[in-house]
Amino acid sequence: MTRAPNASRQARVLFAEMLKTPGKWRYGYQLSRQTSLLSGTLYPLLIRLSDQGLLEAKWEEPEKPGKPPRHGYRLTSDGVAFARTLQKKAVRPILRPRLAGALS
Amino acid sequence: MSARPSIPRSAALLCAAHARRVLLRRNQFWADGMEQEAHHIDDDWSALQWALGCVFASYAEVLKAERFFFPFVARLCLAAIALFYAQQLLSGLIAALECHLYDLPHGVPDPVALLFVYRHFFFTPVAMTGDMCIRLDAIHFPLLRHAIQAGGGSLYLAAGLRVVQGRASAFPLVFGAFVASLLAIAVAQFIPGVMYDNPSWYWNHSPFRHHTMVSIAWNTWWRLIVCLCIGLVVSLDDKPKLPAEVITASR
Repeated sequence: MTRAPNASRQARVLFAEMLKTPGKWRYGYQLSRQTSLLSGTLYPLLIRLSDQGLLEAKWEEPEKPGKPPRHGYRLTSDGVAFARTLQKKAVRPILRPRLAGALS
Repeated sequence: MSARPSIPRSAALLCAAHARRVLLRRNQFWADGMEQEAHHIDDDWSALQWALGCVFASYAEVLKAERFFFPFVARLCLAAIALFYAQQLLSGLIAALECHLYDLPHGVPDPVALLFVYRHFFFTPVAMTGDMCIRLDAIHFPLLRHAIQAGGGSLYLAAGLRVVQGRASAFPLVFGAFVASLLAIAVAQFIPGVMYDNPSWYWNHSPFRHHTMVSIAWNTWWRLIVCLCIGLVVSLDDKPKLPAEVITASR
């Protein structure tokens, strides 16, 4: 059985974090701190979500002088909808297959 | 004058730049974003950790997106073979030095040393004089053959490096080296007393002269196969590089 796309634990954590303030642009390192995802996990995830149209990225002017521009990320409207669906599924109680069979 | 960055900071910036170069093959936007994010991390060790993760992420992306792994391994294997061939040709160039070190005209009493020099030399027929003491006389090769060997070995070396880089120029280089090795064999045929003309050259005193020629033909055949494989792999893997002005403009 194949896993649903973007349903990994890391993707869920990222979506949950970005859904807190969907319109706000976030930075890569900031997201890493907030989600505890390392850059080696975070970037492939961001790239994949961007390729799927769930995330948008743009160059942002630096806050501190003398620093280069950096990427800002936020969810697209499709991304927000997907994240909400994912959140609802996550809220649903998870039962072990044997227990679920006994209850039904 | 700005303060010199610390070692972890320098390492972080190097890693971030490497991650950018790797990912540039796939996506310049993400490659630049990944590198520049490292400049915004204040703590040096955190920046290094971040940059190492970026290196991992960039390789993962390239492997995934470009089916990079197989050509990369194939290139490394072929480069190793090319370097081995280079070593075979170039080792003949240190013959004079070895002659001097082991004082060959007066015999080599040590079997280990004998084995070492025997593998790096062409000799006249072995003359056993006692159990351990063997007298060997090195055959003097003409300068032309040394030059061909040096040329062929250098071409193999250059081809090995170009193969690692995945450049199509590896093929003409390795083909040139292959031709040079054939020439070296052909020239050796005209040297009196050389192994191809002397069935008793081997330790086992093989009575089959054609045995040597079969071995040479077999090696030549494999060299040709390696040459063609290199041509195939680098032609499949040679990617157009982004022009420098595009890279500069994006930064």
